[in-house]
Amino acid sequence: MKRKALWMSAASALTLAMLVSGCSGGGGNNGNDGQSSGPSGGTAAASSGASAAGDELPQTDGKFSPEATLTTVRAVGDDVKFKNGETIEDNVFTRWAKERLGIDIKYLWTTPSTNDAFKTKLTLSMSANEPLPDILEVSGADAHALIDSGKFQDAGALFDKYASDSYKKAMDEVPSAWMPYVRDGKRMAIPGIDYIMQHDDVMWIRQDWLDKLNLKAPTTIAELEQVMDAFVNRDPDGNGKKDTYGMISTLKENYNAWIGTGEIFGAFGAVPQIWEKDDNGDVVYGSVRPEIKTALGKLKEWIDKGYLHKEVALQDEMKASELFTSGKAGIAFGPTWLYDWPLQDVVKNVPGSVVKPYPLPAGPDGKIGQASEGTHNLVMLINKDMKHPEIYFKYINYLYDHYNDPEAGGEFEYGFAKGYDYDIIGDKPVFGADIPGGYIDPAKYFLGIPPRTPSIFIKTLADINEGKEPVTPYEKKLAQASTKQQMAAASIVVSQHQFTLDNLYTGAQTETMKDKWQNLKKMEITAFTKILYGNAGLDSFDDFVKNWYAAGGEKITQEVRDWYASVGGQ
Amino acid sequence: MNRTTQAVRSRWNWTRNWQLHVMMIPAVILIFVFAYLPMGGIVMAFQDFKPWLGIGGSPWVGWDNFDKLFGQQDSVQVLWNTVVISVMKIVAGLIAPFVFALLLNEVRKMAFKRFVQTLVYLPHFLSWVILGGILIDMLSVDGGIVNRLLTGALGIRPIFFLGDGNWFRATVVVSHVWKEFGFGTIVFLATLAGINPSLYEAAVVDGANRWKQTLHITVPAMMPITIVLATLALGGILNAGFDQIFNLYNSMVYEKGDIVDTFVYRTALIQGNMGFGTAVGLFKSFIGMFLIVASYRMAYVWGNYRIF
Amino acid sequence: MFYKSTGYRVFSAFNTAILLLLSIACVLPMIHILAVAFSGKAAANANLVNFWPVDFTTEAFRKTFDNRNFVRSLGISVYRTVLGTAIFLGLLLITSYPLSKEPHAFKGRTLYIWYFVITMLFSGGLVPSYILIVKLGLNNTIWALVLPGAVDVFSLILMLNFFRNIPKELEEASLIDGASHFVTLLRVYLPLSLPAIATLSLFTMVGHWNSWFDGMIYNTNGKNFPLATLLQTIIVQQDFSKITMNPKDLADISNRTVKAAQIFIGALPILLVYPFLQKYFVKGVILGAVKE
Repeated sequence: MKRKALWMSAASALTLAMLVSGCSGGGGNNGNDGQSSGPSGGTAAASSGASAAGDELPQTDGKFSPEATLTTVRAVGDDVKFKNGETIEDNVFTRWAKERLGIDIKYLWTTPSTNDAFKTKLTLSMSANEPLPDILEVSGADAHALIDSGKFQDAGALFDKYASDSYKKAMDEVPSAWMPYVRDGKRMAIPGIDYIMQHDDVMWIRQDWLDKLNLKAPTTIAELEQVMDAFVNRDPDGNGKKDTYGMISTLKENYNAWIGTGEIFGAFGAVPQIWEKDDNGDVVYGSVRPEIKTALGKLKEWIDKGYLHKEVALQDEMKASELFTSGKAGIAFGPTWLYDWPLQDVVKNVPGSVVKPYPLPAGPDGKIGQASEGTHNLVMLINKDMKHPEIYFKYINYLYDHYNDPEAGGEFEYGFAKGYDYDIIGDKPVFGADIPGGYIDPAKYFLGIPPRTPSIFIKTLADINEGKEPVTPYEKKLAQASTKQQMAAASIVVSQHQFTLDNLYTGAQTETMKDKWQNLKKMEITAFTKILYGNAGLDSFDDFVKNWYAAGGEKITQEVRDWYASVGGQ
Repeated sequence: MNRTTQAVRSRWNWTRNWQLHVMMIPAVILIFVFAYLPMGGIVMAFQDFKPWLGIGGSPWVGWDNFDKLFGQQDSVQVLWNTVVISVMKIVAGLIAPFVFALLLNEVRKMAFKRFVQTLVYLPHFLSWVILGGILIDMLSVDGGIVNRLLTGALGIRPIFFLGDGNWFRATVVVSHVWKEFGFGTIVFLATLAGINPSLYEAAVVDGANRWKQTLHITVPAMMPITIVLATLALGGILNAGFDQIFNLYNSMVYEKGDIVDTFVYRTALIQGNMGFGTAVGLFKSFIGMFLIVASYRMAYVWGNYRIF
Repeated sequence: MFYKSTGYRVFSAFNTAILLLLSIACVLPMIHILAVAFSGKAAANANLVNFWPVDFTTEAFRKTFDNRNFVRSLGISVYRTVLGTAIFLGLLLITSYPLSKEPHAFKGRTLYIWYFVITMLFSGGLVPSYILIVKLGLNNTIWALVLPGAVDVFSLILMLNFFRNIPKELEEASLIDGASHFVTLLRVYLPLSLPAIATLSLFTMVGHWNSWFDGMIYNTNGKNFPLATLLQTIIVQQDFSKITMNPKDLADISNRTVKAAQIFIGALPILLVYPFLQKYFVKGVILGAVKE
């Protein structure tokens, strides 16, 4: 009797629950209706936009009048700092947008940038059928599902129609950036192009250790071994203890992290964890190439000899870099900015230490290789219901035209806003810590990634390093704000850029990847660590490769090759 | 006389029971709204859930999500890891605060007692993100303080706590107990505070020493709450502590340290597969339900004790 | 008395030593964090700080309190904790009292109890809960943080077990005197259950103080974040791969000393409240006062 009553109440509860979810389901259906009417609606909007320019919002003096509203959402990370009591909703940038462009920026919601908060909030918000913002910036990886939702419009067409020449010129430097987001010939997301080569690695070495032990910087893996041996066994820090390591590295999950190991593999001819071409020119997954086996054998030897910290498979980049900054390790592979942070701390912690960048060492066959980070991480999606996409382009065009590479005497000659990223004291511009009240980067308030011409940053640094006189405001600012080490590293990066391998697969997860990829990744990491720690012989690598292909790798490789061919890869 | 009492009692029940039902109303309503209504979302376990389609519009996929959980090569191993780590945690996590509460109960200096109590519950407030970092430092093979002490005092070779599967499990359980035992003591202390002192007085009259008093009065008085706690803990047997494992594990201990939640995290949550997440949750719920009902019956049949 | 015997004295000495050792083991990480909070940035980031500050400075604490959001979030957290605990306690008492009766004394008890227990095990998950809160219009209000967890079944079960230890005679006497159940709960049960109430209040307060996820998803902007949500965003390691690299930002984000200061400040209020609740855990005071 009681039991029956219990089930009754449970059943009625469930029915009611269904009713509630039915509500939301109804909402979802409405969304569906919108979607089915979408294509025609979309075309209508596009064609009307194309035919009658009169549909566009009225502008006077280069700004929208009356004011136009632009809605968006964003994650506000810890890197976004404020001064003068400003907030993300009301700050020097939002006021500028209103005054200069007549654009009123509205945030539907904001989240922290940790714990996948942004993604969670976006998922929840869509599930509850809350309105989507006009523009939405997400990571390239997350964009694919959103594109499939049919809630966004053909961004490529809008780009062609509205983007300014300077913006188009920047984008033309990296045409492949669009590739992952093409659906039926339409470019559904605008890649947030970033500086190229800024993540390419160089070899950072404690120069004072080299000098003390009377060594030369290594140019080959064999020389690197000798130097590491000296760093471990010849007491470079002079404390009489054998407590130093040759090199810091991370072999936890990501072998191409910002403290890299990829270049060690690369010296042997294959870079792990990216899709690359094998000797026959076919696309393959780097980690299963035979060259990896040789490199793994080398790394194992180095762990055994104490060149690498024994816990290198437990350490992430932060942990690894602590070894360097506390003066316990002498070599690190990392990008041009690695000296500015965190390696520079070693100078504070160990008086007299000097860190210098050197080119990547070559392997036994003279090979060099490392993974590229690609052209962009983020993309901009444009809501299908956004009636006036020109509002967004008005904003981004303006920044590409005037802020990206500012003209002398122009609005942004020294930076975005006086008192934030620069100030004028007397009649001289000051930057960084010299700004009264502290430096704040207003570009952090921008709608998405700031405008960036891919080639400009590292190339300019390298030029300045090689003695070119800075002329434009951009060059002057870089020359003043960059460390010598970073400039030197930039020259090295430019000279070795041909050895950087792009990840050839940039599409959405393939069907088989969705089910098998995490398992394959676990398999790979487990097999590698077993070899590195001597829990399995080097020959177990061959079994791993066989198992990898059998457990879905074969099919995925085929899918990747098909995709690569479909986007016109050779 | 007896009959009147009976009559009075039943009138009580009759006239006063309604008061008890009235007292239940607010909680019943709140639970209905905030716990039962959202349960409709369990249907997501059978969907390929897409946020923009909502719960009502996402396509149905039958048992696909469950297949994914059991169809993976090493899901049995992962389930086994979860149960092993979880059971060790439940057992050790009950014994430690139980014993500690008993020991604390013997302290006669109030100031010292309070001092100890305040200190031991501190680790509870540190997140695993923080503790993970501290532990990795402390347990490091070269230079970690624990290994320095071990090699110094015992002359043994350094132990790779976080790099060896078995040591990893032990480390997970010990660090969990260390973090939570102080806070767990609080429930037992409240129980101890509730024991009637006249029971001890009577025992002293009977000539029982402190050990006998503890054995025959204190421990039995703490048993019901211990069983209740154990039962409730069983409901979460497939939760072996995501935050902790996630912040401590690494590729070297996947074989023995990978648990359901970390597995699900890697497989589904980074990809935003809500349907799969719900399916795993539902599976965990049923296992928990089974264990709770079983232990509820056992306590009732064998101990004649109603856990709740 | 037993505590004067030699055996017991030996035990006592050992006991004191063990308890002392365990206490120290528990407090070391907190000391480490405090030491980091008072240390210079470079030393902390290079992991050179153990249990004593290196390059002593209070800069981290100053920075923390300079952050307006921090102070506002502190206020929101206090509000939420006080309101949440009050509602929780009220519901806990009036609900666990009937449930502590035997099934024959309270018809329907078993049904009620399973009605609650099931919700401990099964939950709809995040998506439907969020939809519910939005449909009820509770997002961006304090109620979204307070109401969903107001009835905690775990506490309910513990409380009803505590209530059962109270002698039935006291209840019957009260009822025979003509008191209603409600009055009996307040006059008889409440005073006798202070240790249990203190325990469960502490759990709830800690729960409210530390819970961060709900604050994050039910608020549309960071201004209304409770402290725990704010701290979470600061303490958790940023995912470096997703932000556009800029060494200046990274140096700021990875500022260990500020993180440490905030962790400490975040735990402080609970550390301060605990000693006040502690007196309820002192053995035997309560029931001893009752003459049977």
